[in-house]
Amino acid sequence: MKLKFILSGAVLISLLTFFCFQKAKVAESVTAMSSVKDTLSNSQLSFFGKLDAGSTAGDTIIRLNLGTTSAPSYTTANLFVGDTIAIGNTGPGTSQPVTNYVIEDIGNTATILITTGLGTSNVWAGAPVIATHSAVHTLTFTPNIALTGSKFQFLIRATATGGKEQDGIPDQDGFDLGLDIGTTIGSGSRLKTQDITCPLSGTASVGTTEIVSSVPYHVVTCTLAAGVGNSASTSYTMTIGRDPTTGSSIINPSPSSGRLTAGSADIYTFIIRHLDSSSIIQESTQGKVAVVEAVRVTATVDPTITFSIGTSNVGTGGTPCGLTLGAAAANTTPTSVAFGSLTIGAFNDLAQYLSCVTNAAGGYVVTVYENSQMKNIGTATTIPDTNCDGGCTTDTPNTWSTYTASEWGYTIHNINVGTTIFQYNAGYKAFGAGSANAKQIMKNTTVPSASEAAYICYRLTASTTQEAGNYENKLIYTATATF
Amino acid sequence: MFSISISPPLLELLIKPGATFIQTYFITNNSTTPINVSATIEAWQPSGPDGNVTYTNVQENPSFTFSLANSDLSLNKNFSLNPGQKQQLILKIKANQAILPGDSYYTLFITQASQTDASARLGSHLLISTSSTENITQKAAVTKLSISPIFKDIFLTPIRFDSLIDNQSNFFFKTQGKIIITKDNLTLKELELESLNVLAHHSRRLQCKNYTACTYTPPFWPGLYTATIKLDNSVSYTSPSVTFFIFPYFLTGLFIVLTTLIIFFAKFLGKKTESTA
Repeated sequence: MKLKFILSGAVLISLLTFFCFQKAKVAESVTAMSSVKDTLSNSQLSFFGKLDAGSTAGDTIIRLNLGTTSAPSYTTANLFVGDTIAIGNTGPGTSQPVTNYVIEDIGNTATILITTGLGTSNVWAGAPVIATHSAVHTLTFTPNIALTGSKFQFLIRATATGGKEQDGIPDQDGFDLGLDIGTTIGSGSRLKTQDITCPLSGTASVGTTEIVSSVPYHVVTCTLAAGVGNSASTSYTMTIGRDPTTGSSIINPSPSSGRLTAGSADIYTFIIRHLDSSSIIQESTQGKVAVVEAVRVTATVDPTITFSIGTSNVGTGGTPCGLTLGAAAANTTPTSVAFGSLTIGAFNDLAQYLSCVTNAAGGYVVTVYENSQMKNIGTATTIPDTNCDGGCTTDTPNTWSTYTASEWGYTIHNINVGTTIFQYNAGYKAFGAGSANAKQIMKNTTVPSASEAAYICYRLTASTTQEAGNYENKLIYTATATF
Repeated sequence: MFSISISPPLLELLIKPGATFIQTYFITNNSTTPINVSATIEAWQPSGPDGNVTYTNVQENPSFTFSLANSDLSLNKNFSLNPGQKQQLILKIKANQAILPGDSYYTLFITQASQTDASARLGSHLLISTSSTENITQKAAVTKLSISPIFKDIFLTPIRFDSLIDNQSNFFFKTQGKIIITKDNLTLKELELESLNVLAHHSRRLQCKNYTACTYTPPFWPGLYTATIKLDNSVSYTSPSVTFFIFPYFLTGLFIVLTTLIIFFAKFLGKKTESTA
C-alpha cells in the first residue's frame, strides 16, 4: 500500500515536472508591455485552391474547383496577373512536389490563363494550386522593466494540425514558417535566424511550437548577451523576415474555414513576451493581426476607332492645299460636294476635312475610291480622271497646271497625320475606280496621340467642248484599324 | 460634321468547329444629325507585308455564318442612329461542324447609307482561327534579313535591320521576340520586336518596339558581328543568322588623307628648300 502511494506520488511529480519544462516559467506577477505593435509588410491572405477535373497536358487555361468546401480558396479572388502559382505534382518522374506557373490573365471567378502549358504531372483533379504570400513582421514594443541578459519573444499563431506548421503550405488556422529547402532565400522557404533582426544586437533563434492557452504558437526569440540590458520605457524593434529576394519570411494563412464572406479579415493573435535571464516571463502582451484578400482593381479602356468628315476651313475663303476656295465652297457638307456650275477653262476647287483616331495598337488606315467615273446622269458621258500635266496616276502625284481638258482628281493637305501618303505640293492624283482600286490617303502605323486630320482637295476642270449636263459620282471613304 | 465610332476595332478569336461565338460591338453616331447606316460583313486577305488588306476577289469561307442577334436589326439592312446615339450590335459568328482548321479574315463594316457624293464606312476586323484544340501548330521562316548601310562605320551611322517573316502555317501568330546582336559569342544588344500579326501563309515586315525600324546605334567596336532573330512564342521557325563587319572607315580614310597631305607638303617644302639653296 505504502509502495503504491510512493510510486503514484513519483509519477505525479514526474508529470508535473515534465509539464513545467514544456512551458516558460511565469513570474508571480506578469506586467504588460506598452505600445506593442506588429506591422506586416503584406497582409494579403495566401491562396490555396484545387484544380477542377478536365485538365489536359498543354492547357494554358486552367479551371479551379468552385466547391465552397473543396479548398480554402475556391475562386480566383486574391489571385493577380503576374502571381506565381505552384501546382501539385503526381505520378512517376516527378522529383519536386510542385511545378511553378505564372498567371498571365484572370478569366473569371473560375479560370486562369497561365503563361506556359500545364505539365503532365499536374493534370489531376484536386491538384493543389498554391500562391503563398509572406510578410515581414516589424514588431515594436516598449518594455516597462529593465533587465539584463533578458529575452524578447514573439509568438505567432501556428496551425493546430501537427507536422504542418512549417511545410511551406499555407495553413487555414495559422502562419507557416516555410519549408526547409536548404536555402533561406525565396518565397516559401523556411524562416531562419539570419532572417531576424534583434534589438540590442541580441541573438536570434527560431524555436518549436509552444502551446499557450491550448493554442499552438511559433516562437521566435531574441536573447540579449550577458551584461547587456534593455531600458524601461524605451521602444525597441524586432524584425522577423526578409524580402524573398534576399531571405525568407513567415507565410500568411490561407482563408480560414467557416469564413463568412470574402473580404472579411481573418484575425490572429500574437504575443510579445519579455523574459529574464532565467527564462521567467516578466512581461507579456497580446495583440492582433488581420489578413485579408487583396482587392483586385480592374479598369477597361475599350479600343475604338472614330472617323469623321467635316467642313472645317473648307467653306468660302478656306485655305486648304494652298488654295483659296471660292463661293461654291459654301455648299460643301460632310456628305455632299456640290461644284454647281463649273467655270469653263479654269480650275474648280472644293475640299473636305477628314479626321481619324484610334487607340488600337497598330494604328489605322483610311482609303478612298470612286464608284465610277464622273458621269453625266442623263447621257453617261464622262469627265475622265486626271492625268495632271501628264504622268499622274492613282498612285503617283504630279503637278496639274493646265485646265484646257476636262479632268477630275484630288490632292491631300496633311495637317497632323502620322504617315504622309503624299502632300499637295507634290501634285494631284486620280481617284481609283471601284473598291479594288481603293487608295490610302491617311495612315498611322502607331497609336495616334491625338485625332489626326487632313484636307482632301477636289479639283474639276471642264473643257469648252464638254457636253452640258449634270455630272456626278460618289466617293467612298473606308477607315479601319491596322491588323 | 459626319462622325461615327466603332468598338472594338479588331477582334482575334480561336473558335472550335460547330461552336458559336457572340461579340458585342458599340456604334456611336458622333454627328450632329441623324444618319442611316447598315452593317455588313466582307472577307479580305492581306496585301503586302505592311498590314494592308484587299477585299477584291476574296472567296468567303462558306462554313461561317454571320448574323446579328439584335431583335430589331439585321445585317445588310439600314437602321438609323440619332445624334449622340450609341447602338449595341450583337454579332453572332457560327462555324460549321465540318469546317477545316485554319484562318478566315473578315471586316464588320458600318456603312453610311447615302445617295450623296461622299459616304463613309467604318470597319472592325475579325481574325478568326478555327481549330478543335487550343494547341495549334504554327510555323514560320524569317527571310530577307538584310542589314544596311553597306559600309558600317564605328561612329557614323546606325545599323538598320530589315526582315520579313513568312507564316508557313494555317494560323496567324504574333511576332514576339527579339533581334540578338552578338560579337565573339557575347550578346551586345537585344532589339525587342513589336507584336504584329502575321496572317496564315502571308508575310509581315518585322518592326521593333513602338513600330519603329530596328536599328543599332553607334558607337561600336570594330570587328565581326552576328545578328539573329529569336521568336519567344510557341511558333516553330527557321531563322538565319547574318554576320556583318564594322570598321573605322571614316577614321581610316581621314588618316590616309591627312598622311597623304603631310607627305605631299613635306615633299613640296623639301623641293622648295632645295631650289632656294
